[in-house]
Amino acid sequence: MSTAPPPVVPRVRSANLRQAYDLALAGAIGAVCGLYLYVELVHAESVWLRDALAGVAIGGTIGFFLNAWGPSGDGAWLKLAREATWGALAGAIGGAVGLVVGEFVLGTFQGGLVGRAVSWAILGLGIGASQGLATRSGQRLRFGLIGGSIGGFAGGFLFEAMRKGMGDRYDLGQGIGIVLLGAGLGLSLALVEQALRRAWVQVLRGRQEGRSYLLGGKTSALGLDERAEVGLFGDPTVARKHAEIVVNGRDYVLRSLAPAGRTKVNGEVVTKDRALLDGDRIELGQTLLLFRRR
Amino acid sequence: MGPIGRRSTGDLPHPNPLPGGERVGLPKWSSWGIIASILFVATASAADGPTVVVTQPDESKFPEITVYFEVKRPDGSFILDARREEFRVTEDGQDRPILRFEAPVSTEVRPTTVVLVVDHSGSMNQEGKIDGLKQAVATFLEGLPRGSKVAVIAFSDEVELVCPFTTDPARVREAVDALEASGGTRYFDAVAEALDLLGEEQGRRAVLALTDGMDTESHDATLATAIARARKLGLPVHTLGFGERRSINVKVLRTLAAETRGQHYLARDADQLRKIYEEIAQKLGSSYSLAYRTDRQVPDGTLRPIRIFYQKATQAGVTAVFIRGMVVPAAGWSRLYLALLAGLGMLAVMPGILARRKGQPIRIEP
Repeated sequence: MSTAPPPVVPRVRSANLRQAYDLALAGAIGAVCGLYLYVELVHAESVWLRDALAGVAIGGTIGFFLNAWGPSGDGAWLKLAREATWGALAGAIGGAVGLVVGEFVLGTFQGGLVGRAVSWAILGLGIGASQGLATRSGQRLRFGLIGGSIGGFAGGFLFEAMRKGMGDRYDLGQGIGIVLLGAGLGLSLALVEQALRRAWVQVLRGRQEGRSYLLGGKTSALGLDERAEVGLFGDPTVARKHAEIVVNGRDYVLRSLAPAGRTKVNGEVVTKDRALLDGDRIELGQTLLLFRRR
Repeated sequence: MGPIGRRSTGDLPHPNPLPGGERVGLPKWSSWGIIASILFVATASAADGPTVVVTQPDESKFPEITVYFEVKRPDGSFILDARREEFRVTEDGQDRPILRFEAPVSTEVRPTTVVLVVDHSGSMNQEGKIDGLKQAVATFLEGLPRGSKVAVIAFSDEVELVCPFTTDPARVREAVDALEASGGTRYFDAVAEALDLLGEEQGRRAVLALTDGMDTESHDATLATAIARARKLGLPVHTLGFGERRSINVKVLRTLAAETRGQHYLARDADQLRKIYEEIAQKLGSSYSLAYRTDRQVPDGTLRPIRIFYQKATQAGVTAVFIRGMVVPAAGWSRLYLALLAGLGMLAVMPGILARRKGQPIRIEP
């Protein structure tokens, strides 16, 4: 470990971009699928029931894709099943609530560009909030609220503008609008997370190279465990419960739970606890992580 | 900025049917500004022709939309014999064929649904006002088109539905005749309850709310909430002040009527009251209705301006309906979805392909 520090910053930046790009696409794909399910399957007469079901379809698919993206990249299928299920369920509830409330708000605005934009922002808000609540993370809740409302606002605005501009054609405008809502949600979830996150680890070496994991809760587990906040897969030298990072006031402490010698920070073996500083390199078996905090 | 501008006017996009009030050309929002200003010029020069006054649009059977309206001569009297061919309806500027048309004289059954809100507070005992009210209601029931549904809400300290909706005038009269005057005045609570009751009905509807004093004891509703509720349901509240002018809060009654597209009346004595009730009954029976099928048959969350043109009038009756639909259920465009998904899928795999072309990612550490 006496080598010169590798060029971390450009790699981190490109990894951040990639995360934002991927999440935006995941959100957009989810949104298009959801809208398709709605227009093809829902034929309810009552506007409120129709709205609730549309919200379930759109929110559910967005929640599914946003949560499936990370684990599917890791090849963690169990984790994917669990997180995507919760994400989809929460998204469905958030979408239904968001759409019904949004419809109500659109009524008070009596339509119009701003009315449509605000009502769609509320839909985005509902789905965004659900994504925070599904992971029980206050930070993600805030990210979701900001991202969802911005994406929804832009999507709704564009939809209404295109509807007017194209002489009351709904298909293309609404299709692109929903892409914006989903993409905005995914993008903002990623960007806002990157901008506001306090502490995170990024995989520098290992199967998930480039991926970042938010240290949002009080304790974040690291290891092969599917339940771990930082699930590290594909490295046989990583234990099921390898280590955890605990927030202690303003300090982040790495606690090794693996057999002696398999956890190192900056090349030094950690036997029990070790306070982490920004830029510390954590080695778990063959996997190398970078600890970052602000 | 449209909706903000629209809301700041504090006005529903409906014509103002107050007798002395100036009719609003079109909803006051900026994108309609030009058309509205043209209409205003038309309004000024249309003083001597008959006018079309839209009383209520009804979109509950969307995509079919029914509009209730009256045709008035400049002296305020009603034209009752206008024919279908003399009318034209446009939505969003597009002419729409009239599917059904009803004129006041062409059909026998023109049911109207009315909730009578009547005051039986203690002060109604003075000058035999309660008896005057009972007589006036009897006259009203006679003048009302046959088949109309009437309910009565009586208030004093309590707000009570003394007669649920019925088409039998005898039952209404019985319920009103049984009233005795005592207690306070919960006017707004009673109006709010009437609106709730009427909100579940369909077709041409109105609230007729009488009081002889000022609201003293409302627990739940206020002037503002009563107005908000009426506007939300699109229902007019006609207000009647009965008795001495100084004991009635005229300003409040006038505001409630004006803000809900209703009319405000003041009756000094039982005789005037009877005439007013008679006039209202006639007015409710003087309404035309026409139905048309909207051009845009999907509920798309938009406000659609409707104008009714009468051949002999230089000015159209104007209203607007809002059709809910935040996410538009426009089905049958699977190809567009496939194209969108294919595009997004391409974007998703592109970074991977690009990375592979560049070769293996650089190892960070030896």
